[in-house]
Amino acid sequence: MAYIELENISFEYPNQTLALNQINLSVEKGQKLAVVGENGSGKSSLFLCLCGIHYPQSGRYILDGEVQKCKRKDRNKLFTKVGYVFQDPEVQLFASTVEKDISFGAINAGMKGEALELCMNEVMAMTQTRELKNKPPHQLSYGQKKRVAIAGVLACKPEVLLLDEPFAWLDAQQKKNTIQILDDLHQQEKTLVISTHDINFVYEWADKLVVMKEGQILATGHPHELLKDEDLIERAGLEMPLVLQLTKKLSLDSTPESMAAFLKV
Amino acid sequence: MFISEKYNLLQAKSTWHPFEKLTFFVAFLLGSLLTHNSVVPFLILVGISVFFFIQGLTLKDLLQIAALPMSFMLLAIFSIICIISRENFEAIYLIKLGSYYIGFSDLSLDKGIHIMGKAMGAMFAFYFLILTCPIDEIEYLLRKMKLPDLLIELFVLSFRFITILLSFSRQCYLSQKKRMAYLSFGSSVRALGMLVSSVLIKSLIHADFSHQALLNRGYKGEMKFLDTHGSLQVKRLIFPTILMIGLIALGQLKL
Repeated sequence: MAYIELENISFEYPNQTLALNQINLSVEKGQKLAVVGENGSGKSSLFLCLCGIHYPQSGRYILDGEVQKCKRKDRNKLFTKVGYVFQDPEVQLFASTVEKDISFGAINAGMKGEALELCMNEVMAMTQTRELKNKPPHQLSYGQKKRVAIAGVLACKPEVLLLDEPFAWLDAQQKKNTIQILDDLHQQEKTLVISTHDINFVYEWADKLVVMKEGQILATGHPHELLKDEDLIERAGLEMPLVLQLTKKLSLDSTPESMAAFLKV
Repeated sequence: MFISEKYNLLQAKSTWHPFEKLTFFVAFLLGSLLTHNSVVPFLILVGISVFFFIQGLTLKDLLQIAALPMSFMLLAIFSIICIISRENFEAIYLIKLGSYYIGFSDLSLDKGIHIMGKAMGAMFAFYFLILTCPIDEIEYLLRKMKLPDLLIELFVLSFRFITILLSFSRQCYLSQKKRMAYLSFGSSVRALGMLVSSVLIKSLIHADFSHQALLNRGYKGEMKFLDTHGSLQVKRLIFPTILMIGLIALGQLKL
């Protein structure tokens, strides 16, 4: 059985907007999953259901073989398994210093003493936030805030990390740093689920791609296969990755897996 | 930017335990408030100013910091010093305006200077605390003083989110200004109303997302953070305590 199984999940907001409509999805442990789709296609709602903040009105959510009952008690347990990094780090950082903010989730997860110190050191080293630890969050740059927000969630030691638009408003260097964090997490066999509009990144990075539109999943599969499908790209309002556009334009025989591989060709 | 961050040179005093700084603050505050003479507030004022200068604050910075409260204080003191009467009275300076006598006497001047000294001393004591304690030390002190968690959490969240709302308001205001929203009185009032309502909506949406983010990190109604301050050495409190007793005792003398 997959690590995450969603069976016919539907979720409707109180204003009767159907955000998720009969979603079926399976994610393996350690997988790198990317969710793409237009704004309002249901990506964020899917993430909120996965981390237990929203309770789906129908369907089954199975995590690590356990059916989630979607009650407050389950949500309190779920946060140590599924962490969610919000698109806007401003909503996530609230403590008076970076160090305190990162410690918040770890303490709630029951860590104290040496274990807490170890966890803090590990997380701050991975996200390069050690030198920021005594600063108040509002003095940080946007990229730094994003790293602290990721550190705060990682401190809860989740097995699955959901990242909503992790590269939004980041400069090239900060984007590279974030990708480095994602790679480190992948090496630790964490399951990574990101929602993004950066189709070039998705093409090179993801093991599995989910294409969403109007609360439904249009297609699921490997990005190298799905993103060749022009009809799907048109229907989902996406654009073809640059590598594929160039390959097509130059009528190359083979399809490179990344821009670096393309440049070698 | 908050005043305590603008002049964060003084916050380099991180080797001091927050309770040590608090004891100095209490010593200066009680010294100022319980005095019967003007010498003690003067000593406190000079002492704290010298400390600020040693820590790298310039006279210009100090005057900038003190300017706003000082202006309110001077207005208040003027109303104490100034006497308005229909009858003539013994005064150092007196003018007659119509049927009224306006001036100030020895007694009113003494009273004004005494109150001004007390207020200035208390104000500088407060500046000593906020310029030497970063916000997390203030939060630590509030927790250790066993204030209700609700108040402390409100303090922490207000401090954090007020910066976001201020930055949002500034952006909104600039955006309105660039579209000539503040050209006339009528349009200014309308634009200001729209600004306030959009800030309110933004804060409600932000509060909703923040609550979700807190839940996602295991928030169960109580905020617990890492305690980064070591234990307090009692001997570090000896000097500020002696200073406190000395200032209070000196303040009881009729000088």
